[in-house]
Formats: sequence, C-alpha cells, structure tokens
Amino acid sequence: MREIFFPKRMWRPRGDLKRRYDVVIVGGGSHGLATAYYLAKHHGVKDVCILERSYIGSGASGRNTTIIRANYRTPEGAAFYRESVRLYERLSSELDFNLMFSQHGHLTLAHSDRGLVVAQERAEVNKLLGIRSEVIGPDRIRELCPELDLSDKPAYPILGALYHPPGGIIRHDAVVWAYARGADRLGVEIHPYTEVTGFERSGDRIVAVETTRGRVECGQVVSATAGWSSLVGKLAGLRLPITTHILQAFVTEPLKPFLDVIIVSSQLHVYVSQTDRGEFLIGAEIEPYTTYKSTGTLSFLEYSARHALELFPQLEKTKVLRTWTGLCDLSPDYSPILGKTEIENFHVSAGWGTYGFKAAPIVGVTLAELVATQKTPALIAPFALERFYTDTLVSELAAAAVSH
Amino acid sequence: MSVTLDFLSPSRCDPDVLVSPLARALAGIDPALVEDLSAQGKVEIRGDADRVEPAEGEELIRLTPRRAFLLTSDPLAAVERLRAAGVRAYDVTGGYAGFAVRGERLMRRLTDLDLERLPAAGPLFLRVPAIVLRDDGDRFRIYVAQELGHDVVLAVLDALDGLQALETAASSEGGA
Amino acid sequence: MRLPPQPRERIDRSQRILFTFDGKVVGGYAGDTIGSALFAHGQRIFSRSFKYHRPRGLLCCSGHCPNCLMTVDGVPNVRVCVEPIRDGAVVEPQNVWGSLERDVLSITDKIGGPFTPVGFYYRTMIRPRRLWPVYEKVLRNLAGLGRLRKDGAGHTRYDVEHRRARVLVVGGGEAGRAAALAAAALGPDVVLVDETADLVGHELEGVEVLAPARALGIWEGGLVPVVAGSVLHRFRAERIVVAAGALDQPLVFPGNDLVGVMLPGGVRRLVRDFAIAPGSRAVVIAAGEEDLEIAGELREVGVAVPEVVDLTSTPARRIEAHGRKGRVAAVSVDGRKVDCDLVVASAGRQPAYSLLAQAGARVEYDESRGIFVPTNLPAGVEAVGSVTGEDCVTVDPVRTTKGAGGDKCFVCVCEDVTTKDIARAIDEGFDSIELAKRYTTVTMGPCQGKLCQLASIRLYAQATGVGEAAVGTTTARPPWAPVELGVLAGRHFEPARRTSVHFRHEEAGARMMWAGPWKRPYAYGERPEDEVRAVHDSLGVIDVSTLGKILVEGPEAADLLERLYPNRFGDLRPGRIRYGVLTSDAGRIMDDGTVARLADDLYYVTTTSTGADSVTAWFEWWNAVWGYDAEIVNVTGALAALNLAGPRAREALGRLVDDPDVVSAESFRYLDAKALVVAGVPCLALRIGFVGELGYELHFPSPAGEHVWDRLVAEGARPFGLEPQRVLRLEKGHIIVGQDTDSESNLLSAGMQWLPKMDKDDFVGKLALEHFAERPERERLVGFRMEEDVLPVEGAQIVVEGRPAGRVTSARRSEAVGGVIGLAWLPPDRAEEGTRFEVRVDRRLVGARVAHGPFYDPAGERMRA
Ligand SMILES: Cc1cc2nc3c(=O)[nH]c(=O)nc-3n(C[C@H](O)[C@H](O)[C@H](O)COP(=O)(O)OP(=O)(O)OC[C@H]3O[C@@H](n4cnc5c(N)ncnc54)[C@H](O)[C@@H]3O)c2cc1C
Ligand code: FES
Repeated sequence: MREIFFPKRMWRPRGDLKRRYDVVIVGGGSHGLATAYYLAKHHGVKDVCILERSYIGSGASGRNTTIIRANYRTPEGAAFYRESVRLYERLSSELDFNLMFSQHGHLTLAHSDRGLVVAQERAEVNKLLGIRSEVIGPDRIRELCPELDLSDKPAYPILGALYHPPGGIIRHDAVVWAYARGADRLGVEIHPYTEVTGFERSGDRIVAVETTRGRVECGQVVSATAGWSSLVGKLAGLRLPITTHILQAFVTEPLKPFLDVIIVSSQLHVYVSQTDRGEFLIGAEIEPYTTYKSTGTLSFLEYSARHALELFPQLEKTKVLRTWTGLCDLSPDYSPILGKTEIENFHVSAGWGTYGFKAAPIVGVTLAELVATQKTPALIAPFALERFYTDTLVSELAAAAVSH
Repeated sequence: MSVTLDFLSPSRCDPDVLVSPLARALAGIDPALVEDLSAQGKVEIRGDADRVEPAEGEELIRLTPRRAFLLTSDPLAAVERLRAAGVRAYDVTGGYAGFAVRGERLMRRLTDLDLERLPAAGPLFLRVPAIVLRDDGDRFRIYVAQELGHDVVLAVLDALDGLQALETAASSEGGA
Repeated sequence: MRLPPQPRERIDRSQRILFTFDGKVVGGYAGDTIGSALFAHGQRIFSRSFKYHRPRGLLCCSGHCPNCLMTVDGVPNVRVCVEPIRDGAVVEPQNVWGSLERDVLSITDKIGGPFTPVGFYYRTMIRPRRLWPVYEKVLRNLAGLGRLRKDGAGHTRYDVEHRRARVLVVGGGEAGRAAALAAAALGPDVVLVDETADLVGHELEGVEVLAPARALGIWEGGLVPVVAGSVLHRFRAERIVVAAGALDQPLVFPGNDLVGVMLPGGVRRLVRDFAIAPGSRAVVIAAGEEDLEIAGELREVGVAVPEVVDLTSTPARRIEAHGRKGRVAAVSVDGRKVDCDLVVASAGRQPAYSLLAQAGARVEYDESRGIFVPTNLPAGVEAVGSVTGEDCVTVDPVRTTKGAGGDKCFVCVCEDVTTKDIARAIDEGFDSIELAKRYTTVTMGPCQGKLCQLASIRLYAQATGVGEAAVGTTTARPPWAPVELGVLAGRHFEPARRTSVHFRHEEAGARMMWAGPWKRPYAYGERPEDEVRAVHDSLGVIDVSTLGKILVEGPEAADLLERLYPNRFGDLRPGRIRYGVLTSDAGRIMDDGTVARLADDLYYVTTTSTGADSVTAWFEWWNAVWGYDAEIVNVTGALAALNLAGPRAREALGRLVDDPDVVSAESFRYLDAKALVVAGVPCLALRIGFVGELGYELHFPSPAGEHVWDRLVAEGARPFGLEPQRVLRLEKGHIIVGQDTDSESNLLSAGMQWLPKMDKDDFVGKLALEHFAERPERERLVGFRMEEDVLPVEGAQIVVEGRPAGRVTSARRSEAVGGVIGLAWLPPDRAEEGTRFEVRVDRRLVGARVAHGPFYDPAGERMRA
C-alpha cells in the first residue's frame, strides 16, 4: 500500500555479472524466479543469479492462460498440484503484491459417457487427497454458469462436469514480477537480456556457464527454460524426452462481468474464462506439429471461435482483440520432468506442456530444497527424469486434452 | 473355406432394398439444387493406376500414385475386369455418399479446393474428406464418406439457403 | 446542422432514417453512420473513458479509436462512427455510471489520481485475504466496457467463402487503387478490399472491389481473411499488395483527450462524407503539409480558424488544452490562450504496418522522419503508398508536454494511460517496452496500439535514453482490427457419423449418444436391463456398423499382420477368426478387434469404433516402413454390421438364408467366418460371441442396412443399445480398450499374458513387453464382485490405508450374475482370486472380492452352442 504513494523500484537495474555464483538459474520465467526466491528465503542461499535471454516473463509465463487448479488424475500429480494451489492462495500476502487470484471455480465439461467417466475418476482421486472436486449434473452447472448453453441444441450437449471450486485464474505477469521483486530484495541477481549459449563441463559436473555477456562459474545450475528445455539441455549434453509445440490463445475486447467460472471442454478442445479486466480469454489444444516458430494460425482462431460459440452462442458478436502463441515443452506422459539429472549439479524443471504455470510456487519450493539440501523432496520424486529409463510413467493422458 | 469379397457390393442386392445415405436429408429437395448420386458405382483401385483403362462412361480419379477411384455404372464388371488384369480393386460403392450441386459461389462457400484444379481430394469440403469433381460449366460432384453424408448435405442446403437469402437482400437493396 | 451539400458527401438527404439513442429518437440520412447522425444531432460526448470515466468524443472517425464505443441493438462495443445507420436501431451508451453527461465515477479523475496510479491494484486489496473476493467483485464490475445480453443467443448466419486471386490489394486509397488498376491491366483476378465505405459503388476497370471489407491479417501460406459483413472471405493470392496507408498519430499534451480534440482524418470525414461542421472555432496543430491544409478546408466550410500551429517549427511548442465540462474550450500555445471548440491535433502520420509485420516483415525506426517503417517484406507480399513510409513524417508526439502542468496527458486513450504513468513505470523498474506494456497496459486497448504505440515508444526512448530503434516495437499480434467471433467461426457445423441404420434407431425411440465420432443408441427404452435379458433369453440385435473394418490383401498380408500383432495370424486358416490386440512400440494397448482370414492372401480386420482411422494409419505407416506386398483398405463406411445374439440366433438366421443347413452348428462353428446371403443381401457372417451368447455378426453393403435390420427385427430380434451391450460384455469379463485400459496399460498387466507370442521373431512392442516381463508389475487388471449391492462409479478408488491404490474402470449391476460386477486395476499383491479389497463409494468404503475369469457362463458353452 505504501508504495502507492512512495513508488519504490521493483528490482535493481541489471548490473555486471560476477565471476561466480553458487547457483545459476537459467530462465527468468515463473519457475526460475520462484526457485531463486525460495532458495534465498527458505535456505538462505543468496549467491544466486537468474540468466534470462529476454525480459523476465517473456516465455510461457507471460503468455499463458493462467488456469490454476489441482484436480489432476494421478494421485502423484494431484498431490503435487494441490500443494501449489495452497501456496498460490497465500502468495499475494507472502509477496505483498496483489496477484489477483480469482478463485471462482473450474468446470471441465463432459459431453459423452466417456467424458463423464474420466471426470468421475478424477473426482474420486481428488476427494481422497482432500481436493475439492466433484462431478455435477446439468442443473448444478446451470446454477454455477447460467450463461452456458445447456440445451440439446449444441452438437455436443453437455451431460455433466467435473467441478473444482478452488480452480481459478491469476495475473500471470504479477506472479513473475512479485517473485522477481521478492528474489531481488533478498539479494538474488536478475540478468535479463543474457542468453546462455553453452556449458563448460568437467566430467559429470558443470563448472561454468557461457552467456552472451561472458562466462560465469557456478556451483549448481537449474534450467527452468520450459519451451527451450531440450535446447538448453542439449547445450549441457543432456537429452530430454521433450518435444516443443506451440499453443495459441486470444482475448476479446473487455466486457462487463458475464462469466465467473472457468469453462473447459476437452471434447471441443476449448476453454473460456473472463479476466478481471473483462476480456474473455480463450484457448485451445496445442498444435500437433513441433516448432519453435511462434506464428499463430488462422485455423486456430476459426476452430476456437467455432467451439467457443458452441458453449456460449451469446458471444457471437464479441470481438477478438489479439492472439498470441507460446512454446510448450511436452513430455511423453504429460507429467513434468523435475529435479536431478545424470549431470550431477544440473537440475531441471521441464516438461510443462500446457499446464506449468500453476506449478510455479511448488516447483520453486521443491527445487530450492533440492538445490540446498541435495535431496529430492518426496513430492517430486515421481517426476524424476529417471522414470523414462525405468518406465514408471505418471500418465496424465486421460486428463490431458486441454489440460491447462 | 475361403470367402470372396462379394459382401462389399450393393449391386448384388435387389435395388429395392437399398437406401441412400442422403435419402432423408434430400427428401423433398429439388434435384436441380442437390442431386443424389450415392447409388453410383465406385471402385477403389490400389497399385499402378496407369494399368487401368477406364471403360466407356467410366471416370478414373487418381488420389495418390498408388491409389485411384473409379466411377462406374457397373462396379461388378469393373472389379472383375480390373482384377483379371491384375489390379487390386474393391467395390466401395456403399462407402460414399455422392451428390451434385451447381454454382461456383456455392462451392466457394463449401470448399477450399481450387475450383480450377479439379478433380481433387482432401479433407477440405466443409472440413471433411471428400472427392470433388467438376463437370462442364458449373456443375460439381462431391463424394464423401456415407456416414457423414447426411450432415454434410444439410450444411450444403444451409449454404444454399444463405445464398438465396443474400440474393433476395441484394435485389431489395438494388434501389438504394 | 448540416453544411450545404458537399461534393463528395455520402448522405442521401432525401432519405430520413430514425433510430433511438438513450431512449430518445434521433434522425439521420441514409449514408450516415450512427456516429455521424449523432454528431449532427448535437451529441458531443460519445463515451466515458475506461479508468477515469472522462468524457470522450469523436476522435478518428475511422473505427479505430475507443471513443465511440456504444451498445447497438444489444451488441456491446460497436464503433458507431463506422456503423451504418439503420431504421429502428436502439443505441445506448455503455460503461457510464449515471449518464454520458454526468458520470459519478468521473470522481476518480478528480481525486483518484494519487490513490490509483498505474498498477495500483497490484499494491492494494491484499489483506485481509478473505476480503479479496469482495474487492474483486467491485473491480470486475468497474472493468469491461459494454455489457453482453445474457440471452442474446446467436441468430446471425455466418458463412465463409474460399477465394483465390492473382492479386489481392488491401487498402483502397490512391496507391491501392493505382496498384489494382495496374495489376488489372496485366491480367484477370484482381481484388481490392477496403475497410471504409468510400469505395462502395465505385467501378475500377477489371478490379473486383470488396468494400466495406477488412483484411484481418496475413496468415499461414499467404492466407488473408477478409471480413465483409457476416461472411469471411479466405483469400489465397499469388501476390498480396498492402496499401494500408498511414494512421494519424495523436499529439500528447495536457487535456489532449478532451471532447473536441480530434485527429485530422476524423475532421475530414465529418466534413467531406457527412457534411458536418465539426466545430465553429478551431485551432489546428499539426506537422505535415497535408494536415496543416485542414485549416483551409475548415475555413472553406465556414469554421473560424484563429490559430494554426506548425509543429515542425523550432523550438518545441508548449500546448495545453483547457476544458469546460469535459469539452475543449481553449488551447494555450506557449502560454497564449486561444478560445475554440475544436482542436485538430496531430503529430503526423505513421505507416499502418501491422499487416506486414504480422506477415513476417521487419519494422525499423527511421530517425529522420520519426516513424517506424516495414522492411524485408516476405515473398509474395508487396507494399505501396503510405504504408511504406511514403509521405509519412511525425514530430515527436510527446514533446508538446514539456514543462506542462495542468490536466493529464494521455498517451493511450483506450486504457487511460498518462505520461505520468509511464514515467512512474520506468522508475519502478519496468524499463523495457514489453514490460511497460504489460504493467501499464499501454497499447493493449481496443485500438491495439494504433494510436499509442508510437508515442509510448518515443516516451520510453526519451526516458531511458536508449533511442527508439533500441526500444523497438512490441510484437504485432493479429488481427488487424477486432473481429466478431461469429465471423471467424463460420457456419455451425459439427458433423456426426451415422450408420446406415441410424434413422431406424431414432424411429424406435432410442436415446442417441456420442460414441467417439459416432452417434449410437444408448438404449431403446428406460430399462436397458430388459434388453440384456432379451439377449440372454431369446434374441437381440445391435448395430455395430461403427466397428472399423479393414481389408488386408496381398501375398504378404499374413507377414504384415504377424508383425503388427503380438499374437499369431500366419497360421490362421481361411474361414477362421481370431481375437487380436494391437500394441504400440512402447508395448501399450492401442486397439483390439477380430481378425478373420477370408483367403490365403486376404484378411478382414475389425477395430474398435473409434479406431478405424488410427488403425488404418498405423497399418499403413508400418507397411510403408516394411514394404510388404499387401494393400490396406478401410471399408468401414462401405459396410453395415449387425450383431444378432441370443439362444434363438441360429434359428432366426436360418429362416433368412436359402438353406438353413449352412448355419447349422456343424457347418458354422464358433469363430468361423462365412459368406451368407441373408434376406437377399450378401454378407460376411462372423460367428463370435462377445456378448456371451450364440451370436453372428453380419457385415454387408451399408445401403442395405435398414433392410437387413428390419428383417432381423421382424424375426423377433430385440434391438439393444450400448448400455446393455456394456453389461453383456462385462458379464463375460471382456475389456473395453480406452475404458478399462489407458495410455499406460500393457497386455501383461491387463491379464492377457496368454496373448503375445514371445517366440515370434518380432512384432511391434515386443521389446517393451520383454522389459515389462522383467520388471516388477505396478498394477493388474482383474474382475471383481461387490460384497454389497452398491454400484461404484467408474473411476471409483480402491483404498489401501487411506490412500488411492487402484481404480474401478467398469462396474455394472448384472441380473444374470446376481450382483454388482466390474473390472479394476489393483496392486499385484491384491490381485489374487478371492482377495478382499475396499472401494470408496459415496464417502464410505465397501468391500469387494477379486474374481478372475468370466462372470457369466465361465466355460463359454452358450456362445459355442
Ligand atoms: C498459450 C499458453 C497457455 C497456457 N495456459 C496455461 C494455463 O492455463 N495454466 C497453466 O498452469 N499453464 C499454462 N501454460 C503453460 C505455462 O505457461 C508454462 O508451463 C509455464 O509458464 C512455464 O514456466 P517457466 O518459468 O518454466 O517457463 P517460461 O516462462 O517459458 O520461462 C522460460 C524462460 O527461459 C528463457 N530462456 C530460454 N532459453 C534460454 C537461454 N538459453 N538462456 C537464457 N534464458 C533462456 C526464456 O526466455 C523464458 O523466459 C500455458 C502455456 C501457453 C503457451
Ligand atoms: S490508444 Fe488504443 S491501445 Fe492505446
């Protein structure tokens, strides 16, 4: 509040790189910044720098559709995201920055028997883990979202939904800035416009990081580079089972409140929410092809518009204002790859596909713990890279379609 | 005990027992607007299409170097002839709904295919896979999977309706 | 209120048109826009601004700026300055709290300043957390412009038109018209689109003119969508010529948003097109020659112009506008006050490069002219006229703010962002244009930065001292102008696949449901259990035409299948059938079905209802790798398939074939495939028993679907739907791929250890299965019976020590078995026959026991009968 009247810098201007840092974090997105923040805050590890090739939040963190929820399918996934949602709920006050976490509930629609079964399975897993989640019928849906077309007119009539009351949306940039500010104030150095171009290895260890602004030595390295993970991994000599795809989204012109809950339809591959600014935020499925080229497609717009109108025909005259794309790092089982790798001091946060923003706080907490203690926290053990060698995958696939 | 592919051919049934997949959608519609061609014989050909000589009245449409589609009034004879010539041929008459419409404007509302470069095939007719042919002038024939035929033809009728609505609107605006 | 007839006016003074505005009747002429008619009627305040609720009036008159957004016939956010007038339209102001003239929220403008600086919402309403929802509700209600009608369900007919052109010219100004004519001289198929109504009725020799029509962007493969009314024209052109012109750039000075401060283009439109004098006393402040000429044009129509300021003169001038009740009343130039009711202010014109940037062009800063120009155009795209920078020049739009006190200086009118906000953002550390955009929301309003991008960049360049070129522009994000969702969506069309028997099901009152891409009957009545009983006791028929059906033919067909499937098909004799499961390279279950060998070199493969396309593609993909001499032909749609099942099946079928002996138990054995003529229709008959009773699956030409169906029903077969089929299958313990299995399930854990023939040389997934066999099992799929008569939902959790340890994938109540049965994934150590476990049902734990093997007729005597 004070800062309203007495503006204070959010973070120090970028300084020179030091010769060495205990921890070098590659990637100035939500995950990198959160990890830095918790390293300093929980473990007193402050000799940390964040290297970001562009401005902070320029990656998926500043482009995502900010759905935050915990209603995952696998017990491992649900328990993990549950902790993240809990952290998010307290994050505005922890970071003293209003992140505008708007928890109006999240509805995953079922348009087929199959869809209902998937919803039931998730609800059952969630309930056991203390996550509020239930399958509801059309009457209850109507109460929560009277605007939705629940008639049998749409091509895919709505049969029910998985209702997750704590689900919500947040201001993504605010999360990035608040973590950046928090980390900066604890002494972490943030270096935007500093791209990592290589790693110097000595056996199974990284000894230094090469950047466009020179070389820095490091104790440990964390790569939190999402869509660029496999490229950065490769620079370090690490192969990750990740493919990068683009995901597109768009917003409409702002309108007065119309829709409180988040509506997701896997069958129609579309999801719709309305932000606090009044814009409808609409997104779809990732593009099936792999690419780093971030140009959007008209077919995406047409497809999403068509499907959004199946749900909300009243929006037909609502105007699309802008569209954008972001990169998504997809793992084979739609679960993240988190923690240690075969390079002793190189840790990753990757494989976030279309759903990693909601995980930022818990990734920060657990990765910070891992870096500080060298022990993998139990919560993230199932997500180790090793699972692809032991074939113990954590499949979120059944829930994957439009799984933001 | 071997089984032949006779069970593919509607021509082996009494024609009276056959129903077009478009029968309900086109009931009461003037064939000059949309004409049902579903009953026409269709043969899928695999292998070297160059070895296929279309007979009188038959049309050969190449889909890929190894795949072609033969429109014929007598699919039984065509399959027999082709097989005798060592070409693998399948009577897929029942697999496709077919219909004819008129007008480039209408077609432009239905397909992204280049109307100057027909015949062509692809998932580009109302976004469903189709084989599209152009006859002399502005008559077009379209073949789609029979199971989608009903909905596709309803959409074609809707597009026709839209164009007529447009034309009426245009003529009333004429004075302004 | 109109001027005498103007040479190029668009209005037809003989035709009055009436509409209502805020409840009152307003008149205009045909050819007017709602905005021009309102202005002529004397309306000056058109909207209230986004944040401060300041009064705003017409500014650009070209449909770009946010100032004239109103609700028209219930549709919010309509730019009335370009919305054609129509009889009976209902026009209402929006986002006003009170009235346009008196908006209570304009208090934020007066006193809110210090409390609501840029990003204030990030710093406030944080504690206590439980109050946030209350604050949020208020915020949400304050934000947003128009209000949607909740019931306004879509009635517009939208359509798409796929167009081709040799040359597509975007923009119908002088340069665009010349380019179009030049192209037309060289050949046909030239189309010119223009977003204004200026060219309506215009003839251009050899050119198709589409107007008013707006190109939204240049997308993949040179695709240019053009909106004309409710039709989206998707153009593919050999050459795209962008002649989008230039955009007037507002000047930033205190009070620059007052009603009566207008851009030169807007003023020209009012005079030229609508014969309206935009004011009586005007001050013109502009840079280029063309814009300065507006002074003469205004004088010509009787507007006094006491002061003309040429901004290119040095030193920089200090400008400040003074308002009365939100409307401009005077302007001071370097401290000298001039009374006026119109200020034509412009910093010059900036190329409208968005389309080009989005198509992949680079955008560079031209220091000498103060503009951003597009360069490096992609192949096939050209630019002509002002969009290239021709005749464009801007003066620094923010230098007029220097040393100014007084009113707010708006950089971004859409979002109410002032120079102060930007300065503050920079001080706070948001020191790159991308960060600033996100923090201050500058350029993120309805005009998409058309009016504020340049000014904000220049402000940044000055404040951070890095130069405009280094600040750079923000990424161009299509579309060029806001576009209705309906236009993008086009026709409402979600086709369903229907079997050739579909309408018989509807006629019989079946409840149809989606099953993958198909519509199928759930059941024919309220009591699916009756349909189950009919099958067990007598005779039923189900439409299984949705099964994928694939022919595999060729001398190496057997080799192909041997290698695709884990089990053996080379040794299958012609006329016999075997069950097969397809696995992925990773050993996961993909699909299942029956494979019948029809002849030495001919197989007939069925897949699940959703699997036809993917299995065909899978077969083709592998065969392209291996190169066997075998054809793979998907005949799913060509054939109908009906399953006739029940103790009376043989007898009924016997009556429909010429010689009942061909279906006798001896000549047509279990798992035989046979050619039959049923009711005059040639069929492939497969004797399989997946619903647990004596059964025949008849495959025959789909056009005969209704006929065969009718005959079977006439023989007493009761139609049964998917739900009874689920029960029947479950009674036999059959799994359903995708229901009982997921992306991780493999044959070993799914209880089909017997199926893969590990001694085969190779098959898809063999390596993975070998690995599975070596590693400890994680879970296993088994049958179970509930101890009580309660039905767990599918997806119900099996609980061990309070934690999820497994899940129910199928569960049904079975009369025939007497109780609730199902399939579930369990930890391997609990998967032994008879082991008790607990399932969570409605908040309590209910006991169940593992039961291997079919629940019904375990020896399979009935289906083999
Ligand atoms: C359109 C879209 C919608 C989405 N919707 C949701 C949603 O609703 N809910 C949800 O939970 N998730 C969603 N996601 C996914 C989510 O945004 C991401 O998983 C998450 O933001 C990843 O955060 P991050 O910090 O790991 O990565 P990022 O924010 O991408 O940060 C990675 C950073 O690394 C930097 N970098 C890369 N290479 C280098 C290098 N060599 N040197 C230095 N820096 C480098 C990049 O510039 C980037 O800033 C969505 C994603 C997209 C694209
Ligand atoms: S003026 Fe429209 S976005 Fe800034």
